[in-house]
Amino acid sequence: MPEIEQLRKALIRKTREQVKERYGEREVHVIRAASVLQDLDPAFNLLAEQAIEWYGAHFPELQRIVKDNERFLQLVSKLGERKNFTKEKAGEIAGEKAGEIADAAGKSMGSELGADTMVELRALASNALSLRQERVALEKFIDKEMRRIAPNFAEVAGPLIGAKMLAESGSLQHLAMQPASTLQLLGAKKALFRHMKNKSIKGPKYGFIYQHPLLHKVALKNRGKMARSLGAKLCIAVRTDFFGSRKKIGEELLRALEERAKQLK
Amino acid sequence: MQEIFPGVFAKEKMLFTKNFAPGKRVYGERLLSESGVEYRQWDTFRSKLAAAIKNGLDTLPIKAGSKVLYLGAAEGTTLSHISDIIGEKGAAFGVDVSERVMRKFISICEERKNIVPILEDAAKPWAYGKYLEGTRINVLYQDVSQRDQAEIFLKNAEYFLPKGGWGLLAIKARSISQRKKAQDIFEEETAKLARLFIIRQVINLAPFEKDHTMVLCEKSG
Repeated sequence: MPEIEQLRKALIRKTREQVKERYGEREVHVIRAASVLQDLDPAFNLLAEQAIEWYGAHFPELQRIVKDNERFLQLVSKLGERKNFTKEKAGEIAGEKAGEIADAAGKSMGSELGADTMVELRALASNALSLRQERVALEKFIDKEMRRIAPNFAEVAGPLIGAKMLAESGSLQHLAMQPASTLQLLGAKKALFRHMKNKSIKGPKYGFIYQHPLLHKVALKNRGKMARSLGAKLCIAVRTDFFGSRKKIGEELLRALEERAKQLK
Repeated sequence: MQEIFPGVFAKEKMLFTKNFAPGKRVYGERLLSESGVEYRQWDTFRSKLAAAIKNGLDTLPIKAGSKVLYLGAAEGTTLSHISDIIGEKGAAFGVDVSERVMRKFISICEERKNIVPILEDAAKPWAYGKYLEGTRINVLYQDVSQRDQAEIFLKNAEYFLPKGGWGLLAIKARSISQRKKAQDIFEEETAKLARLFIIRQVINLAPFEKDHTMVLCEKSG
């Protein structure tokens, strides 16, 4: 069948191009970045826990003094062995706790580690820390891209929350076609279905937008109301971005929301 | 190796098809050579058509030389076996909306001369009708997890399937409703098909798929 063979070749070519084009759209990358971002913190915590536990063989007292994982790892990767934990060196990272740390280092009950072990440990600590740097870089990327793709939506939602919502719904087009109530609850799927299956469980009032700063400015009993307004304004913003003239209305919407937050204080 | 349908083989309770692209695997399945012929194992847990055959499908309308329109091609797992069955003279068109799955599907199309990729929405048959103009479709196969799966099937049947053509529709109950009983959903959806089809057989796909059935039907009008 020469016709089908020709058609097949043509369609393979066309489909390849379509796939290529789709991956050229910038929102695809923001969506991937947002999804990476959500995996980054758990990955960091996992590695940090391992490193801290391991380092505990050498300097167990440090865990009680430095509770912050990031700071702990910085100390390990910079200073390494316990005997390097002098007051001034530790002070560069740990600040006022340096005295306590140096004290504890002097009378630690931890055992000595071989040089190889220490190399491994320091490498582990600095690798874990690089995940933190990656996080900062990724947030910057998302911030920039969100403001470019959907300026109004990013303005009202905040770029990070906006990116999460975008990732959940899959595309800007899909997001722009959702009603305000869906935007309000986006990210609260589990709670919503639990409520729908069993009406005695209260329905959720907010999804990703729970992290929105304005929501935390209002009294607890008014958060549902605030979430509803937020959903409505987000809806206007995302539709303007997707369908509209790319007019800048984000700030105006945000001002209206701040007004509303004052009423609901 | 026992041939249970033309092109479909069974051995030790497992299903096989003759590998149309010898030496190549599609999804990590087992390859088996017997008297100079290479067979690919057809996983009943990954392909609903295989599950339907295993659960006692009466007639397999897909045979050597068939022209198949396959909606919801995904990564082409089932379609690769259809490609084995229809062989040199057959042709199968695989439609899917997702470019994510197309990436893998295209590479399968490149290896197999009888399958054609179409990156379009199956709910809009007019968008890809132009590609099918020169081909007389014999079998319409659909496996899309959409709420309006029966409507999509009917729409495509109206467009492409001549009278007497066969339809195979995989119904996923949980795409239609999370709450209704699966059996009720199957009956409702099957009833919708009666507008264009005579229902020949309805096969539950348990234990291979939960809350799925395969409907075998023949177009009457």
